Amino acid sequence: MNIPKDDQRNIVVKTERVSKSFPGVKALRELDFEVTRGEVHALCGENGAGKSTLMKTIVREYIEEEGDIFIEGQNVKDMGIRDVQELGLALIHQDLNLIPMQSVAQNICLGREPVNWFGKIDWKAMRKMASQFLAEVTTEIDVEELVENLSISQQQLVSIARSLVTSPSILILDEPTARLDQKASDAFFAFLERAKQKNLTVIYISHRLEEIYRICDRVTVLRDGRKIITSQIENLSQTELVKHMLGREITQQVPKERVPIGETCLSVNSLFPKEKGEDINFELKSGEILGIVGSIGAGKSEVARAIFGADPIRKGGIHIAGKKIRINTPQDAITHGLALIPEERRAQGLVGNESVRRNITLASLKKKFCNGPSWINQALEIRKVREYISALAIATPTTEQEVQFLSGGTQQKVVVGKWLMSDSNIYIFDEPTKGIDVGGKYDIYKLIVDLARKGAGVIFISNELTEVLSLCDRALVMFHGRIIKELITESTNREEVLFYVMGGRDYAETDNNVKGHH
Amino acid sequence: MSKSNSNTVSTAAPVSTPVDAENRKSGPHVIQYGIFVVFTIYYVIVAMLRPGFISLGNLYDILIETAIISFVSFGEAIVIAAGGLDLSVGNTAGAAAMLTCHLMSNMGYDTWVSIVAGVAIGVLIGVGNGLMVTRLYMNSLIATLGTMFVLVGFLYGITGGVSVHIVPDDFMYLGTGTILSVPVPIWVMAVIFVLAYLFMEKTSYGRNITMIGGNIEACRLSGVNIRRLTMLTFVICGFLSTFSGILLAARQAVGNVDLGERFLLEGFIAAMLGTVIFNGKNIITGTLIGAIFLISMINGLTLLGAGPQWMYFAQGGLLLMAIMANYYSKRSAAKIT
Amino acid sequence: MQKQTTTLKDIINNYGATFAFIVAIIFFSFASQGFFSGQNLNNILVQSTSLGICAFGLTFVLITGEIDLSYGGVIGLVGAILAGMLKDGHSIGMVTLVCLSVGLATGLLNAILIVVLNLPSFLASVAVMFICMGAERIYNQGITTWIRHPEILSIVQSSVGPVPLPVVYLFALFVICWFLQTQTRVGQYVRALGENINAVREVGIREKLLKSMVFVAAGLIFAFAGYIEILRIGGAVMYAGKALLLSVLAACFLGTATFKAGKANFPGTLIGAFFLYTLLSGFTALGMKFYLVPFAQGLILIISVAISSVRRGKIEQVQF
Repeated sequence: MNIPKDDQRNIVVKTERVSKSFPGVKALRELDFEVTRGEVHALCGENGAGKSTLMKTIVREYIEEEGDIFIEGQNVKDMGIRDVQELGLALIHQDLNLIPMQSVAQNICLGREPVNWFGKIDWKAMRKMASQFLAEVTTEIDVEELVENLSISQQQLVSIARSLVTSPSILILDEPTARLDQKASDAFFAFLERAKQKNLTVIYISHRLEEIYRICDRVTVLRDGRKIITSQIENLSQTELVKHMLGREITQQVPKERVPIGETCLSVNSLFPKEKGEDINFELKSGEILGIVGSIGAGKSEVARAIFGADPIRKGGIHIAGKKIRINTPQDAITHGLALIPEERRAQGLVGNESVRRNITLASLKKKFCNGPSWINQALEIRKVREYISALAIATPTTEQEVQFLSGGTQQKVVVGKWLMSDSNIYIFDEPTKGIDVGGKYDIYKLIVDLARKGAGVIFISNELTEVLSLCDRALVMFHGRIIKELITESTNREEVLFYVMGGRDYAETDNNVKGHH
Repeated sequence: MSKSNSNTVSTAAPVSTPVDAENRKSGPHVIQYGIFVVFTIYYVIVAMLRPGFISLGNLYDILIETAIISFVSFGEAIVIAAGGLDLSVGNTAGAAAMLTCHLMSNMGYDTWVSIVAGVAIGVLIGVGNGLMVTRLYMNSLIATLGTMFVLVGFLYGITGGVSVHIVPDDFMYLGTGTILSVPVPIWVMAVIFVLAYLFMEKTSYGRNITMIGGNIEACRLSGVNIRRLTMLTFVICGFLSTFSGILLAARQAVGNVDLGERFLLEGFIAAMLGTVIFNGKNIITGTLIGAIFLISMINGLTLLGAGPQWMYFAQGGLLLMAIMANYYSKRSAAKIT
Repeated sequence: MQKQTTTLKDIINNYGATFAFIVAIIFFSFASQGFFSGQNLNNILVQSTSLGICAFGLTFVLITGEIDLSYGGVIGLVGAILAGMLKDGHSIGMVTLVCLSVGLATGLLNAILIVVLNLPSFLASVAVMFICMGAERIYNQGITTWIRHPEILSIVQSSVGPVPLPVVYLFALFVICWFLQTQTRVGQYVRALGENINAVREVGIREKLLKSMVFVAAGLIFAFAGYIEILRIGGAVMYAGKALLLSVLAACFLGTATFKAGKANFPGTLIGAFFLYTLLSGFTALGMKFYLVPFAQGLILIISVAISSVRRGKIEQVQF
């Protein structure tokens, strides 16, 4: 595209045909992207579309294989992270990277503390410096306060203030409001407005429709590593945006079958998980696969962990098969037939340096394999484990293979096998197919459908709309800690779901997106 | 199972790559067996220089010395398996020995009653350590450090710093007598070894203790009772430590006040070796072998005329070797994932 | 955030050990004549010197989230070399240099093992301790060497006015360490290392270099402690470091319970060291049996740490 010469100076970030691959996947495909000075430019796309990868490549955390990237007109091919920071770029990470036991001021000024001739830190100057930067974002936080005493929202704001220390002219924000409460959100948007007036350029990665439409000038949609469209925000309706994110209908191989749905097996009543979540209410029936969808910060995992007793709750409780049950620890949950397949399978689901056999029997050792109070019947154990390995098609050479050497999909099967073995009847899957290849995903879907067929109740937490729509009977959309919509998967489509996931209200059908076919 | 015919395209970028499981077997094993190789070389060299090293009498001595420290080593290994540390093992052994000797010799109680009392105090100490770690949520390093201090005071308290020299004959039999011409301590070691081995390898307690050491959060989310099992490790460790102390007292026919230190050092090294020799598996057997190695090393050095100056050096070197082996085996494993 | 009102419970929770320390001093002062005398307090200060100095070195390492037990061997090794070289007639300047170099060397060794090779700090530093102990034994052949030069002994065994020199050294080092830790950029980074390594990386600080420097500094401080200790005793007692092994640990951990920090800190360590010796002195003054001292020290260590750890709510494993 030909840009008039004098406008070249106004393009602060530009990528030309940039490609980047990781083993097994092409994350960015000949991507053209540009941002003009002073604009707030939204970057949208589903998980895996390439948004984070693109940003990390621009800030030089990753290096592209093909193509060129220009920042302020300079080709950054040979530059490192610090170099692009000097060009005025700042990326605000998902991880806050704050030091809890230091004050806000110390955190903001880390690395750039003002010192006097002796090398001694000038605390007054530091306070002033920190206040100055913090004031750009919010005036409600005391710079002397220890970070650990602040709420997560406030910490996020501090993190943003810290990135201003390098006086960036280009700010990249990755889901900045995921952790912000209402008050902090308002402060944040006020900050963005002021930044706009100062001609600060902002690249805004977000999943929240309202915010995008409130603050952004243009939006670029990515899909499968490609740029789909760039448009002025006023020229694109919300539903059109969502549609571009989804693109062509892709059929997913999912072994869905009609499964009779029985009685209510789990009922969640006015649950308020401790960390995040407000007034969660829903019911799960046996034989049903209930999806919970939501973008980052929606609170899905918090709900799962609260139900399972992994995290404490503020209020509320659950009923199982009609009876009110107190669940304080995972042990309680397991006694009542609950199972949690956690989000981080390596950190939370498996003991990496132990064998498949030991991992798979971890939750059912005493129950099933012990003669007397504790003597392990190893022959029985090995036999059963072999049965499960073959039934679940777990790709391991032996029962004794250490699970850390198995592929992601196989590891996940071991985790599922662990719960199958303990005869649970309510299964909560938290992002079970994350990081698993296609074949592995299919196997997991099969397992889940099997569970439903045998009468278990399944909660399926995921961000991948296609699998949710194919696998689940119903789907609850969570946004900002609340369940905002319940959808019957047969009578909705991906656009509608994504619309609500992004916080939209009152999805309107247009000719282009007739509901009911997916 | 028929698969329906359709296009399958993933909608998200898969991250994991399938792994060739066969490859990884070579790495760690080389290093683990390296320790055996080093020791074989050591044995051979010392035997050549001092043939007395492999004389039956000397091997006999080595075995008995090993037996004495084996209990403290097993106990420590079990605590380490669950991810903790017990620094009070030495003083526990000392306290048990002192209490037993004191009751027997100074106060005239029956030998076996005194022994039971000695063992009981070890259990009590173990419970104390366990409570600090599982109820007060203290770091076991600090908790057992405190216990050490308290015990030193206690030790001197019972005895006034005076060693107990006269012990009854039946007590001495435990240390110096033989059954079927095998010394009693070795019998005791054999029995305890079998029990400890079975406990760790064949019971759900032992299994879960090892799993806790591997990933405590995964165990918690799988319903393992972390508190109870952690407590158990400390109680067992306290219990076993008393055996080391009491048997040594029986052997030396004197209740010495500063038994503690040596046991902590040697027990710890043997336990560390135990967690490394078989790459984290079979720690009880590993600990036994580690104890044998350690005692042989000290014995060999003494025979070679190396004064005590080399002992610490050697122990340090052995420890270093053990942890490096452990570290590198973990690292080569991790590289593949 | 609103300021919360501080209750007695809060004081005990946050400043537990300091509180206990003050209570102990008051108690002993009332319970026994002569405890609160200048002479006695002087004694406490002097006796705590080597312990305190050594503990400062350990405190630095603890702040970065690692542990360093090598002082158990370094102190003895340095002491042996000090006494040995003096006996051989070397000048005190030369000897001091060598001693400090030994500290530097062990610090570097720790740094290589722990930072470069990534070995667990507990085990690696214990191994280094053993190696030093072995080296010490080889050097002195098991013979205790006494220092016969009064002018050299006076480096430690004399006073500046009413203040004994060891106390001067102790406080001087304290001020330096405390200043470095709380008032300089390096101190901020060292603290950050122990709390959130990612924050350090994000700002572009070279963590490996920094951590190595901490171990080297600790080694130097340990050498200094050995230097002072042997001069104070008047000779190189075998394995002088071993006697201090546990007390230094105890002083540092007591220190974590002195202030709200809950982590190792210099004022806390200083108080911890004093506290340990106050107990010793107080008990002696009261004519109590000497073995009650470690008993009390252990209890106080446990109680102080437990007060803050009990709120953790989770069982903590030792990082191996």
